[in-house]
Amino acid sequence: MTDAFAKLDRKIQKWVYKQGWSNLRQIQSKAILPILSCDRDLVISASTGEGKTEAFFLPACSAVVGQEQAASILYISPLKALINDQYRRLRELCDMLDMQVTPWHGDVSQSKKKRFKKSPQGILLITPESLESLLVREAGWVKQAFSQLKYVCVDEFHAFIGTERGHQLLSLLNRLEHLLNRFKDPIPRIALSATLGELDKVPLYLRPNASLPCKTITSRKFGSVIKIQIKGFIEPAPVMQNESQAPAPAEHQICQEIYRRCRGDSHLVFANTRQRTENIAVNLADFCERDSVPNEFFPHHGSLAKNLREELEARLQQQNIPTTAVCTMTLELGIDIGKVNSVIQVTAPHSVSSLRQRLGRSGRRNSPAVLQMLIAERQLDETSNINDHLRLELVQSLAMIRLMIVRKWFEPPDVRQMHLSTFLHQILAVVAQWGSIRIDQLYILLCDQGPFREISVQQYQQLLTHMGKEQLLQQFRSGELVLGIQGERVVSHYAFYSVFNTPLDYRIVTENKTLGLLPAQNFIHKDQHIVFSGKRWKVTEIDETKRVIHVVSAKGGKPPKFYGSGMSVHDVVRKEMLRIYSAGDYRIEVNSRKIDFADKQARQLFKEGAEFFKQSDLARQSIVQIGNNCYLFAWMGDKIVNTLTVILKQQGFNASSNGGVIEIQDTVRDEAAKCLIDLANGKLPNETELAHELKNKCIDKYDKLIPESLLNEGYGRKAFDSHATRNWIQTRLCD
Amino acid sequence: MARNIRLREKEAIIQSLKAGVTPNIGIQHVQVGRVNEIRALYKDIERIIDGGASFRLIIGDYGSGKTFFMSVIRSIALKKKLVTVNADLSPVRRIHSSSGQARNLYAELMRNLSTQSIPNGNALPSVVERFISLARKEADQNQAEVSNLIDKKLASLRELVSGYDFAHVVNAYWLGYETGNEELKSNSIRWLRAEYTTKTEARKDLGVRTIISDGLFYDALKLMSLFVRQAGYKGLLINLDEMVNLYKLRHTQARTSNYEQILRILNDCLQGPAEHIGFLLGGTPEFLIDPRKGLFSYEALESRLAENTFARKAKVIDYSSPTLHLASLTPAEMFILLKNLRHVFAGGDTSKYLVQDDVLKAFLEHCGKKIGDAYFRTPRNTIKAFLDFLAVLEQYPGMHWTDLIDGISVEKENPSDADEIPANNKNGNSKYDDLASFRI
Repeated sequence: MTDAFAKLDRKIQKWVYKQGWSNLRQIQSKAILPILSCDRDLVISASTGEGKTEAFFLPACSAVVGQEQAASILYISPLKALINDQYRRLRELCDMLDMQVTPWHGDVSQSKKKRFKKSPQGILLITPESLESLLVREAGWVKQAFSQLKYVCVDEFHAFIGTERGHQLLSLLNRLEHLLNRFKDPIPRIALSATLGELDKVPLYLRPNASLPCKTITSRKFGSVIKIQIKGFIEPAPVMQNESQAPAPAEHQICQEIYRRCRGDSHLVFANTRQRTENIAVNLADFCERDSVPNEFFPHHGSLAKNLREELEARLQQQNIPTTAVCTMTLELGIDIGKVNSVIQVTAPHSVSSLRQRLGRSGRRNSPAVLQMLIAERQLDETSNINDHLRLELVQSLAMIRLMIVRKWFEPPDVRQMHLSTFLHQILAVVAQWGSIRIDQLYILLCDQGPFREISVQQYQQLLTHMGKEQLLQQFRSGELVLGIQGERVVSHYAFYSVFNTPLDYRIVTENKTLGLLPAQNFIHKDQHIVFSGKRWKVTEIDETKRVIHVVSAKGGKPPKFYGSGMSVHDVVRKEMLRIYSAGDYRIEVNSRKIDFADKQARQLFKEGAEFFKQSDLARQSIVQIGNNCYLFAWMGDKIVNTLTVILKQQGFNASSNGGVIEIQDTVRDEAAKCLIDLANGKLPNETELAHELKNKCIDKYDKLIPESLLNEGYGRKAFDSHATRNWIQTRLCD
Repeated sequence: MARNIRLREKEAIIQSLKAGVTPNIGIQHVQVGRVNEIRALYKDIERIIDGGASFRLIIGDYGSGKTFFMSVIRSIALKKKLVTVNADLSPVRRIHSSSGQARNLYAELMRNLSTQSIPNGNALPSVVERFISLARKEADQNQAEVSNLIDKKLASLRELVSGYDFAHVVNAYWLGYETGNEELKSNSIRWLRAEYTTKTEARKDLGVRTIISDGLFYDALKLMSLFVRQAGYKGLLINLDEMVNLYKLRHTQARTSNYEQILRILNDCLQGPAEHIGFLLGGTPEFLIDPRKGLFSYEALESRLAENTFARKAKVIDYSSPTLHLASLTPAEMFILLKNLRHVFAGGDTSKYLVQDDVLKAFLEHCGKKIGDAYFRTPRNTIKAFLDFLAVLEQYPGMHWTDLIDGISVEKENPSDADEIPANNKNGNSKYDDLASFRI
């Protein structure tokens, strides 16, 4: 055992021996001294199963053993299930140390909470939402209960970075330090996280006011074994389907593949949309019935009844009945369902980070993480769309895999976001917590010391004025802010304590017929052409109160099969796609040997796409003319593609983007290029102005309470990037 | 002007004012102006003594001196042999609740119970002792059992809610007194102070079935007002300050219940049934007039508390209305206040004045330059600075006031329930000073 180990409390050492551990893991040894020193933050970044939890709790418990007056360790986790799990694991250790450990979230029994309320002591395991509720409702007690707080630990920190919930968490931690009067003597924060890409940015994300130095510990162990395969499928042309010899549709083939692979084990199938999730699950259940075997395939998505979801989660947790969940991003993060044998991704993932999260769900003890991607592309004919010719979906999937495996890259958090919805929530929460607060105090607490650094004094004043008008806030003659009558209503609502919500869907309707549901994150504006359920539509009206999008069918060639959601693809992904196309090779080099991770069909599809790329001379040309239409290839992220599309539309072009390719109907190439160049050299609209053009901007929970002008600024930053677009036009179109 | 000031009073006044709080004793030496208001409340006190009741809302902006004014009235009441209780409302202390906040408020009131001889609170045991000794004296004269006499004297209490147990607890105190059982005595006081939280415990210790709980807040005050009469006092004055905390309650239902309680008290006091009891409720204008969250949001209260329209038309003030609006001090009154402070500082001896009137003027001018109107509108910090100024002059007689005056810093007061927050940036909090005065 190491020297550092000797610094631990004797009882903890005894516990370690009792576990039969011959040695502490590397990260566990490394974490001891920085945690015991109590004078810095710490980021422990390692993959699952390397003992991050112990790396924190062994030294932390050692430092606080014997402290009985108040709680000494606050552990925050995004998941209730994880809290229950940690509670089980910590009990034995804490019994030995005579230390109390209390889980605290919505499902914990009142008796446990009451006991902690009466004599707060030891470790509290809590979710951000429950912490919010305690701060708002019982700040006085919190001040007493945590007066001796020594450590704050945030588990699954990667899941918080860059999200609304992450901002709430940071704000909570900051408010806690304020309440406990610990700004001068900050409480060390320890973040436990999966391996992270840009580790150097994490400290500032963990503590925006940088009042404590931060150390980072990463595991030197080279990631565990990963098995990845990508399989291609052909969607036959529709005309052939009526003939008797017709091959089955791609989805059917995919279901067969899943059925063949997954039966008898536990797997997760990610299918991106609810519709597809349902279809696949039904197909698989049918296969089971056909073969007279018990059904082990179940759907899981946001609109499913809660009890059905929970039943499935419980079944997965048990780990002894073979179960395969066909799910959307609901099972990507969050719910603790244990590990599965493998993860199957149908259609291209949204982002590399989400792919990584999904992959992390697989790989049971000592077995590799397995990912299979099933991508269908259309059979080509003379009317095929350019996206289909390029095999865009397949290449995007290949690019994402390469980025994840070779460059170990994934999307960094977008630190320039304003998080207005959560900001408004925190304003209400802070006013409710204190009863009344001065305007300058509130700004210092949330924006100067807190995480809302992107919000200027002016924007803050604008928001407060609006909140006053909406009676969310009121101001005394002495200047103090208090809750207004509407603010009270919002704060008293049982769902107030959480800042995230399942985004509501928009219903797509044509002539009183509902075509289906579209998630709100999608990027829609009036007169836009969209592709939905394999057809082209023109948006005629967006009804935000009823959440309905009215469309009429639109002309134009055959629509592409793959069209993306328009908000999530990063510059790096598109650049990697361009690199793959240009090189005509996607294989991964390991020890000077090229590893091919695609099956025969996928290889064939890739060859077709690369061939088309070469023929169209896309390596050199950014705009190509095909028939009456021209196509603009930015090979840049969705922010730039969105900016270009909206600018073109403003200028009267019939432009729409699908999968990063902008289609401009009935336009000559040079005309579009000239227009863009003129704008880039003149006045290009900024992000806020562009957002002004759009309608459905209420994405996050309290967006509907934000004034339009501010919402435009917030949305503009999310969806557009004028500066980068100008650069792109000037470098790529002006030669 | 040649009032004499005792050293004890001087110390108490100066220490309290320096700490920014209202002194408990000697307050009459610093009180300035508000003659009509004081006269009106003096009449109230006389009515309480005569067996009546009174109810007043003292409404004034932040810093206008509500608390100070209420303390002045309290000190008058004590002189007139009333018993006073006072407390600030807070998130954990209100007049109606179901989870202990009303009991908390009652307990706080009882802790601050004062009499003329014990003006700083904690006088409940002495009131009980006085009751017992009166009873004993009477029993000696009539050759009766003390216990029976106590029962007889408290018979009127039994008609009220929980009165039986109240009388029982007082008798238990006597029992403890007689048998030298200190624990029983202190348990009785605990019960009277509403410090019992469970009935089982109270039953075990004192053999009573009830405790003073949230629901008994007002009834217990009525019992107390009857009891202090039996102990030889003239009545009970209840000062409740920081009523704005009711306004800040987050749940409409909770707020309405509290306003209902106020209505009940108001009706009782103004319609007659209450005896020997008076209420002073201090709050800001928002607490009273806000139509959505203030007292006026409760219709029955609005009609009872609305301004006298005749008086308003005639541009005069109706001092008999249940609502008294306190105006801020004027600069002239502020000047008199400084003179009073100088007098207190000199212990009432005009020959010991540290500075002349012109210095007072210069001092006020200096404050006006620093913080504007706030120096007389919210005078707390001005008073503090002035006392510091005098303290230095007293200790260093060689110093001239002109050397000091520029160094005096007066801070503008910005109220907030939240603890102050240090800014993280280099400029410190001053960067956000402009924000403090932003109006939404």
